[in-house]
Amino acid sequence: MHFFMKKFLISIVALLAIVALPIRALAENSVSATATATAKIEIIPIIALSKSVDMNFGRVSPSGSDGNCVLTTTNTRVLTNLAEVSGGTVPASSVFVVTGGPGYSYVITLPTSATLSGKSTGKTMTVTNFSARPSSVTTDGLVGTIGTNSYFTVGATLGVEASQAVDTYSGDFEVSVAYN
Amino acid sequence: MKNVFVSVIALAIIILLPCRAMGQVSSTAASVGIDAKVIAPISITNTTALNFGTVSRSTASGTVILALDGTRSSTGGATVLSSSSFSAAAFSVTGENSATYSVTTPKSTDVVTLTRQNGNGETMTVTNFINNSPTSLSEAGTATFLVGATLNLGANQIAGNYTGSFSVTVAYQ
Repeated sequence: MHFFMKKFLISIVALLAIVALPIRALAENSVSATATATAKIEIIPIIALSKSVDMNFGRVSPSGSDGNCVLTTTNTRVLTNLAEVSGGTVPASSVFVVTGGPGYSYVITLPTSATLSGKSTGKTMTVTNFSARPSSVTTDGLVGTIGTNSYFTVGATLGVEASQAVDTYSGDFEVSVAYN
Repeated sequence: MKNVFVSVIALAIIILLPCRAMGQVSSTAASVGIDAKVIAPISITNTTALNFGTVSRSTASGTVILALDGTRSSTGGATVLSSSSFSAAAFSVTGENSATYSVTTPKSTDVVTLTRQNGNGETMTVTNFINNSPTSLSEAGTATFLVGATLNLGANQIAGNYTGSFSVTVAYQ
């Protein structure tokens, strides 16, 4: 009896030793777990555009055949088959001011063409080949970076027919910008 | 001998109490532990933050949505910068092989608030949490899933970096 009890005791202790460990482990480790994640977003100001200077091709005279007047993004005028005429207004590239989130890049959308109408005659001329130069870069392009004083210039090519009626021509064109 | 016997009973009772609390194990020595199942603890780790990226504010309110297919979309006055990186939140779960589990994200009615860093208490809310978690762990005892949500941009939301946090809980079923 004594021997049996001793053996029984050992058996129980052995069983308990085996069983107690995993059960304790189960009791200590939760059957659920939670993780916390960060949520984030960066909000930047609205990008805005305003015209600062109108595009002005100045004054030209047809010279017997179709010609054109190229106005670069740096206020330079190049005439083909057109004669220089003294006087008139000073040619100017168009200038647009861009505001928005500092350091963010933006992309410019230019028109493919614009039509100018004669003030007196109602005759038309066509402006094509628009180009832009953001103040943040030194070459023509459509992508700029917003800084403290950001703008871009716009140039284009005006087609002048040999028989273009003498008049003062004007028209509108639209450009837009968006964050890149 | 009687003392020995008493000792045995006492020892059994002390150790078995937590067992009984688990409701799984008999208090008789003969069946102790034979049926006890030892399962690996379940754990969850956040591996990727919920990042809506960079958004241009507007005079109109809008939303930015991070979907479970890894895409980002916007509505109303919110304009996302396509060049900005973004991500749905990602989580990794480990536990018992093939065990079924449940996931609890903020409910659709819960609101998680993002607060502007270095701001004056400006906030935005994130709602409509969704996830694509499987219902059970793999045979290797792992699972990964994404949590998406909708950010609500206010009209004329003050520009800045907004951050907040939310919790996701997994539990054995």
